[in-house]
Amino acid sequence: MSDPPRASSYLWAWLTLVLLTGISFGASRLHLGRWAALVALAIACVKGGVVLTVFMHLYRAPFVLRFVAILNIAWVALLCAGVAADVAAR
Amino acid sequence: MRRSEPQAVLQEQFGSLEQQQHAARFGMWLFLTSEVLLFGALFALYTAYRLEYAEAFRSAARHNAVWLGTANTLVLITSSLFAAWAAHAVKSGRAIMAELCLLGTLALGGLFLFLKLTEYADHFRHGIYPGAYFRSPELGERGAGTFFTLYYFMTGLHGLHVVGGMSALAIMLLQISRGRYGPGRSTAVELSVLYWHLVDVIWIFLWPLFYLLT
Amino acid sequence: MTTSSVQPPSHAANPAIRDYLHEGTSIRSWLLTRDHKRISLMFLVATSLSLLLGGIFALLVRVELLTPERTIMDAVTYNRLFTLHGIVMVFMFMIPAIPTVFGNFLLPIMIGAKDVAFPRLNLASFYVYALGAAITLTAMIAGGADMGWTFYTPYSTTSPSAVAPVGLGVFVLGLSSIMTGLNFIVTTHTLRARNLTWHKLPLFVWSIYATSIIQVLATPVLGMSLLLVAVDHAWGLGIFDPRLGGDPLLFQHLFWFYSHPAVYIMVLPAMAVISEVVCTFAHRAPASYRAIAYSSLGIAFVGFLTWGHHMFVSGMSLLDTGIFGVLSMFVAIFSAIKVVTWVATLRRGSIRLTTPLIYFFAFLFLFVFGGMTGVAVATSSLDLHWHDTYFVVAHFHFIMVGGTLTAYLAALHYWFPKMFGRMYSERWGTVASITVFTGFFFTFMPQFLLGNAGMPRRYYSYPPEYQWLNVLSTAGASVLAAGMLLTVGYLAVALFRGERAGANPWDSRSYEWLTTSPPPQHNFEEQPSMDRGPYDFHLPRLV
Repeated sequence: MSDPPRASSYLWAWLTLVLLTGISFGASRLHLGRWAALVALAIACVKGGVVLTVFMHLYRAPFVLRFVAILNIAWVALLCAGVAADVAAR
Repeated sequence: MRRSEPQAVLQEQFGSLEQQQHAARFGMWLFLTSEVLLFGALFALYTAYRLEYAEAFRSAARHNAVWLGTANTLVLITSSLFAAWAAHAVKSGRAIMAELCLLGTLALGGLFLFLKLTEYADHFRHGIYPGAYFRSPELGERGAGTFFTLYYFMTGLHGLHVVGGMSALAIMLLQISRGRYGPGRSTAVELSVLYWHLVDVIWIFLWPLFYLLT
Repeated sequence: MTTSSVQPPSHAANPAIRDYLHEGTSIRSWLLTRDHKRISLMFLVATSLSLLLGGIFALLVRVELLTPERTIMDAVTYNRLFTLHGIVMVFMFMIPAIPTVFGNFLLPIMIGAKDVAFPRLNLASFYVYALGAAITLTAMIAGGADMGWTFYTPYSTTSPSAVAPVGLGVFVLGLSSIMTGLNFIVTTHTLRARNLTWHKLPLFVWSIYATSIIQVLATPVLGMSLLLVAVDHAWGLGIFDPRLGGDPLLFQHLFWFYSHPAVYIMVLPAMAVISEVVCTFAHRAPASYRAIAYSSLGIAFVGFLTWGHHMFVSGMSLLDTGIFGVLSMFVAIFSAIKVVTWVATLRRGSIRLTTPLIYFFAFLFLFVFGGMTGVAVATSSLDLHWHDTYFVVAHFHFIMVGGTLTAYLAALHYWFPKMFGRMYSERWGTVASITVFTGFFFTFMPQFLLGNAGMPRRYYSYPPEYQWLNVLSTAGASVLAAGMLLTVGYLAVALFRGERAGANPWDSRSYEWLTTSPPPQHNFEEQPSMDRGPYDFHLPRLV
């Protein structure tokens, strides 16, 4: 395993997360209508990505761990999409 | 007094410590995967019900104190930073630093739970209970009740995970202070911290769903 | 492998090394063992007991159905019995059986490892299984549960019976399943012997690996949906209750997101066994190694995309009906690839007809017939006629019960010499396997006809014109039970009186036969070199 990332990289990740939280909060006050959900979830995905790659070290992890993470996200998406497609089209 | 450096023990089925550590990480990631899918079922329910009751969900979300939710988001993000530093400190042999960081994480975790419970108490005062017990004159019955049932279930389950993560980190804190973990033996700390980050990730998604999409 | 490292057929030649059965004989050395082989045997006992229980419940159900009205029990008891039968068989036998028993025993040996990656987790998964089984059985017998194994809402959340503890028990069983799957995935990835690349793994490993992926990805969703039902039942949260704005169909979505892949949790391990049995007794490498290996992963993947075909008549949207109807056909493609490859392997093989191979033929018939009727019921227009009739009952018993049970028995016979160091009686094996197949066929073949004639599943009483087929089915079930008892009998005798087995009695080329029978505690006296493949029948005998 490669050596752990420097402690300062965590600080940068934290700053990014705080900033994104602020942006997400601000965007929710703008009342974007039908885009609001998309924007909020997109920002949440970016934030989740930051935690996964920096805090949880996926950036340097072996391929198989990254694959597990991607598979995981895809499976939650599959479940939500399959169920939502039914409700939306009923 | 100088204690001997803690060293990881190689279990007989592994060929090397690297392999053993990789297996432990891999196992943890698979465990996290199953945790995410546990929540995944609830996210799917949320998606479906939101499609069914779009308007009711919006007005119900307006009822949640957005500043509390946002504060809790920042609290958890910061706790994750401390947790990451703690793992880093253990690996570089700075036990005191690791202990302080873990204390910080635990304090923030406690703060998160405190804020969450305050919020629950506030809901109860307004007659907002889950499911059949939902009584709220200002919110319509249909849809809003479902929103809050999901809200209690998802944040409640997340809260249990916060408690679980805090317990794991508290054990790590105790063991570090006893000199059981150090640069040569840090996998358990690393994995507990990994779990804490997952708790953070889940909240990052719960926050917009229950507070922002008004 | 060079001749210098060839081992003697029995550990007797090296008395210093004891086999795993004799490495400590105290109760404690069994109950707290971390040896995957001993855990496997504990699971063998536990899952066999579950099979026995589930079988008794099935027989009682069949006896009740001998007559159109009451035979031996009232309707409430009947409902509880078929629920007991379903839940015990699905969650306590078919899902855990082959992975926890044969996967546990063989996976580490087949990859040349000393144990699984997490031996303590492995032991824990046994006790979690035992706990879950205890909770489930206690709740069902003391409190009763009558919602069938599918827990459909809103019936399950309003039924005045012990739904909540049963749901909890199955949740705990699911935990055990996740632990096993997780352990096997990590083991396969990290503990393969040097030189043992993925494409030199025995096909058994590929299939068990694919199963494990499903276990980790799907089981949590079932856990959550049962938790929701349990909470709903206990406190009336109404998450699926239409009166409170809930949508019962969403439960079905979550349930089948697990339970359709769960069919592959049952049948992929069966395919794992079958692939080994076919190659050994055809004395030939598989017609296409990659076709079998990759189709396992294909089934695991596509199995996740078909859950909606259980809901065609539930009021699901036409969009999902269309999507899931089409996607369901893909599973048939991967299954067909396997069937064709097995049959092609037998062709030009030099076949030895032994008990495991007879079970393979039984499997082949049940799997193909069950699979074809599966394609039929996954066709939405046809499903309108067959849904919730005995046709569906017969279909899934053919494919998942028939598939799993015949493969379980094939595995038990095939690896019996390896696990216990003794041979069973081939003559009795032949008799029993033919009896089991005959019984199975006559239990469920009439049910296809009953379902097609319109008899709904789970009903207590039926019109008299259905009676003769029901009697035939019950008679078949009795033959099946006799075959199973016979099997228990001669295997028990073989356990103590059977001829000593050599290291490789079937003249296989796969790696588990490189070690002694039974294997020593750490599987190999010395680390075997895995230079040759598991199906190199063109090379000379191993031992």
